[in-house]
Amino acid sequence: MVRLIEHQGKELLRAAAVPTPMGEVVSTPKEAGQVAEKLGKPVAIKAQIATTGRFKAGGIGFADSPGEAAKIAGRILGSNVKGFLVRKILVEEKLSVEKEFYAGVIVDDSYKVKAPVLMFSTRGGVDIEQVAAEHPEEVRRTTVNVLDELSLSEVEELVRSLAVSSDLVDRVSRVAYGVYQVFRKYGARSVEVNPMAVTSQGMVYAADCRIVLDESSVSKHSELGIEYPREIGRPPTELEKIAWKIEENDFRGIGYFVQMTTQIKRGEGCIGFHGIGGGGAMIGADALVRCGLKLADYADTSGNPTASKVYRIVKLIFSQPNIDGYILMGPVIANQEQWHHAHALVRALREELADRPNFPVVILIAGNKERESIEILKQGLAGLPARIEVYGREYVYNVDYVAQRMKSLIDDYKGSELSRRGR
Amino acid sequence: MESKLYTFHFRTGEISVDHEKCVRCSNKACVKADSLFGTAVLRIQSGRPVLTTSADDAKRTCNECLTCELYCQSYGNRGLTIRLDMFGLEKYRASNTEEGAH
Repeated sequence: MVRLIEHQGKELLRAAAVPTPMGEVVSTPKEAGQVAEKLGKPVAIKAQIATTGRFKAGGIGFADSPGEAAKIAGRILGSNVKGFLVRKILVEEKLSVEKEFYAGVIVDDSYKVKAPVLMFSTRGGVDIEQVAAEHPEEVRRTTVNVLDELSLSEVEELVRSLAVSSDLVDRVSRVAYGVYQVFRKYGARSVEVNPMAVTSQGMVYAADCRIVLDESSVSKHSELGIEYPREIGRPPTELEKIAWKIEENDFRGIGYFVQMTTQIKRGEGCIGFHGIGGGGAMIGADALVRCGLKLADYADTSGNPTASKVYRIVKLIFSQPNIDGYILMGPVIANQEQWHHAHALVRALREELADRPNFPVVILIAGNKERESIEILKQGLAGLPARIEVYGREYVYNVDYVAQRMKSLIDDYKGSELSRRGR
Repeated sequence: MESKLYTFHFRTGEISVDHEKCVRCSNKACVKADSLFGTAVLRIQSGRPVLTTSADDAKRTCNECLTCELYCQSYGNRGLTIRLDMFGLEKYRASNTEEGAH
């Protein structure tokens, strides 16, 4: 999933006839001052980064004059807000807000619904989950049948069901209707306008927005210029960008890779982690952490990926400096032909392990063609100088044992590395 | 003299075959592996592995199992190699080498 930056989201909303505050995106304090001057009113200066909580983190400021706008822009630009270097800011008119509402569309993927749900609340500016928990009477929702078009009158009905004054119903409904249009057009996972601001003049604006697109939508909307469509709460590393390029135009199975840390010291027990089967892999990851090991990354190759994709993910894992071991943790009876994993591993590990004496490798692989896969691995990896252990389905429910084996091999490896280096 | 290679593409890489080595190969492990693990894009013609279909079709249907190379290198005459697009990983590794790069 990818979260759009605020100004990108507002652009999509404007195209769907949703009013947004007047403003411009700039990258220098001087430009910020010029925009404030052009607007001729107090302004909000907002860091354009893909994360929430910008105000508390110092990424949003307010100014009453162009000079003050330039000063605040100078403070925000180039600063680090929640791990993001701020390169651009949005300078927009500060609204005179009287009321705040909420409108959003999410995908309700519970088995009873499996459809988009349009939500509206007369309590905006706070998390909708919190409102739903504390003031459920102020939240309304309607499930949208995607085979039919959502009509404006249906949205109006939803808005009228809460305490919205009659003179606002049309404008508020049009904003909520526009939210759904953006959701549908861009194949979003969620589109939220929060707050939907009602000004003292009775105008209704999308004061802020949060739009999350599905990965599969990104290739259909190259006009959005999205470089890395995954929401990880920080800028992607170079390896993560490469991982996305591997995945970008190849939907044959999943090849996921994200780094948990880039600060790895040799000998601290930080391992390259490669999982199969989402939830099962997480159980395996937990078992490793319980043993006192650290995960350098979280990788997953599921959904019957090609051997070439698995190979590339293994190469990415080994591209992380100073890892003390590699584990393929597949504690599931996977419904994929596991021999593609086996062949990919043989190719990658032959390249990676030739000059890593005693390097710890643990492989837990189960599922279709499991017996053949284990044989391929044993034959293909024979003779390598590393310490390699391969486990099958008998260990799917015993991940603690597999994790302990990884830990033991790493402890041995640390000892052998120390003596090899003569320390 | 360098022999001319028989090459074709799949979606994310390229396969090169040195037919001079292949004619001396008694095993033809590449084709056997492709038949078992892959999508049978290879067949033997005059003692050499060639495509069973057009290059365009092969590009589309090859399942990138990598086994033609693996089994050729292990059991054949080492005439077949695969070049995989790595999307910038080689460059990254070249510029990030240090004692722990591996």
